[in-house]
Amino acid sequence: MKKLEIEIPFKSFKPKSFPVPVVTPVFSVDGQRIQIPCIIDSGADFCTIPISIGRGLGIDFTKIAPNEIRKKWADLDGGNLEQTAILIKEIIERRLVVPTTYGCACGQITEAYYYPATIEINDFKKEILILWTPRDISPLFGRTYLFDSIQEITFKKGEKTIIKT
Amino acid sequence: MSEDNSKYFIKKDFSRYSGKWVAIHNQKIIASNSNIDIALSDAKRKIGREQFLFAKIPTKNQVLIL
Repeated sequence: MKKLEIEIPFKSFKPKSFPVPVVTPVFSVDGQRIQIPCIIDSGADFCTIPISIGRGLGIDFTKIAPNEIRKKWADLDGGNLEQTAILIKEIIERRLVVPTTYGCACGQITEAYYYPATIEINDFKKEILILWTPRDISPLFGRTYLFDSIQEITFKKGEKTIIKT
Repeated sequence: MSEDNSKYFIKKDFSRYSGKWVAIHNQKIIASNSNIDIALSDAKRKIGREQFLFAKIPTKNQVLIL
């Protein structure tokens, strides 16, 4: 894979607000593309985006994965990186909608869906699994199947973030 | 185009769009609404399948706990 170094700025949404590291990737599904600023969240297991944007990209969330895949996902040991990578690869290749529930830092449990999309940041491009949530949240740039393509993420004195792939 | 919209998004003060979703195309805000579905459909109605930037602007005094 080509080595890249991408500098990510911190963004203040209004004067005097706390600046946050924001990356602005393009997400695409079957040729439909939307650029979605995401807050870099190394604590988030997956990139997490409101489901309305997924529908805007043309995803049909009613086409649910077969039971065998849903059971595999429910039984998955997230700590087993090899097993996780194999199952995610299968979900991406078969373009499956996998229902799930997830908990956020506030403690609320939410029903959501996994579905793949392609992420592009400058010359970096990869198909990843996105967690599509019904909650009206700021999109998050999370770890799984994405951070493993990145050698290093450096936050530099709150001014910018450097991603090395 | 995505790089231009990106730079515009990073530099712009979005204070007046607090709590809204905004759609940016060719460095211009083409739609904004506190309802994500309305903002998204307004943007798509204006530019069809062309690529645009779509962002959530935090509400006033919002502190992000991730």
